[in-house]
Amino acid sequence: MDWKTITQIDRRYLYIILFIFVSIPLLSPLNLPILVGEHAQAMYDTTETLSAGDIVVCSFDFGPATIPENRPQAKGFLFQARELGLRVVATAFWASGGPLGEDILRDVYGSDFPAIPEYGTDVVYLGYIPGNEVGMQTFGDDTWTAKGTDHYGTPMADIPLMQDTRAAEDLSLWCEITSGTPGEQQVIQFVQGRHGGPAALPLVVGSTAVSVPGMMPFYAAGQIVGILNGLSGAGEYESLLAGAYGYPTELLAPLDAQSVAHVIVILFIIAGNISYVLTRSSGGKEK
Amino acid sequence: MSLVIKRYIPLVITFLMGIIMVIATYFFAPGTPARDATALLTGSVDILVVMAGVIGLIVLIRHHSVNISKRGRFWKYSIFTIIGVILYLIIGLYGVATHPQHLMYASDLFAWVYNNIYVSMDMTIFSLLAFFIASAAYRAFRLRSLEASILLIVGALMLLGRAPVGGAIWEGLPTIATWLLNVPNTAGNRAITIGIAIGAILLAIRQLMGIERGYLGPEQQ
Repeated sequence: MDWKTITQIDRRYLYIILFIFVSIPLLSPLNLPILVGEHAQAMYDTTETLSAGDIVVCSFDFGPATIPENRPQAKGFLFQARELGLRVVATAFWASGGPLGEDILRDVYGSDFPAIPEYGTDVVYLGYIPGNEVGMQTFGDDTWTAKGTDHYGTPMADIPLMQDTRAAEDLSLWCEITSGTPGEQQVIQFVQGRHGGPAALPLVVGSTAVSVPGMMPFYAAGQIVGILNGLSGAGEYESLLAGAYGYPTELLAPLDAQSVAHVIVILFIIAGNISYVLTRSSGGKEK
Repeated sequence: MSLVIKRYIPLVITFLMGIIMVIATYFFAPGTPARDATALLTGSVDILVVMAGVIGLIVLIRHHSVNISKRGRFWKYSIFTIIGVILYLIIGLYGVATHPQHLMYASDLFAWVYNNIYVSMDMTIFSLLAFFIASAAYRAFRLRSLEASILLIVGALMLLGRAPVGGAIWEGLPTIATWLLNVPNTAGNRAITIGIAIGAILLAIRQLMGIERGYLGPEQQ
């Protein structure tokens, strides 16, 4: 096989090469340095400006497919909120996010969650709220109407934290962990836009990397004030939390694997283009 | 079914609901009784979603039952689909039956099926994308034209800049990737977003006026 015919290589060889090279850093991390970008820094700084007792929403709007990206983002935000003494109203506007959110809350607040002393006063889990963007709108307009009980069947009236959470006006920050619709754009349109804009309800977003380009106009306009861009954004956020609060780092190995995968893809592209150029220069036609 | 029921009544309902929401949103301030009254309408969407879910369940089972009975394409997969749907439905209803005060109660068995079957399968399928993307990039990213070359170079910069390896190679790479996201990408995406928004407004107006009727299905069965 020469360079001209390399494009005809069986794709299964590519899969094997990728699998082997991605596995190596997962088994033996390279510990590449993580440089914190402006988007993750903005998310961290925005959350830091809040005062103990402020009420924040953390919405788990993703499914199992994007757990590797979204879970560490949500976990990091909940950790920072707990460290700052913020009161967290956690919920999900995706049915698939309901069980995943509960799992993340157990990771942060302890395996006994919700049977913990601070449940109901400092943190509450409403679970899945149906209706997509309409559910979001109802939540912002009249939180108790959106769902009558928390995830465990306790009426809103019996939850102290929900006594102070009647509408979007009571919230100091909305953290949207998302991988699609409804997501950050629906929060902007149906909650933030109806309740005083970004000055009244700042929005930070943890998102899959593939969705971030589409939300940049909203970041430029100030409607989104901080973004965790996929796994790398979660890693940057994690390193900030580790420096400030001793947050345990978990993403070094996955980020190393991501780095290796990206380099492999670039090498594949270079190889493919060398073959393409050589084929064209010899007057051949690429298959 | 008469034309009145199939066509005119849905059109009237669409017009009335739409016009009420438009008037309430643009002419009444939040907190006023008229605006608050629309919460009843938005709240009723939950009921419609549930109804749609039930209809979806019936259609799904009917479609796959027909496929099995006719030994249609991939009919064996239809058996697994029906078994999965019915089993998960029974497990879910069992959880609710044991906790009647909590209609969204997820029993341990329900959670186990979700966490150990659905989550694993969904993550596996999505993970395969990494391999497909690598293969597709290898075959599709070519220096065929100026536009394709720009796309290739920007793609490579983003790949390097958005992973720790980029910063390890050269600290400027993450900065370049962030600039690409913040400036050229924002410009392009802003144009697309505004275009979509204008299109959505026009579509909504057409639907309210009964010009756009695609959502009602074909004109003649």
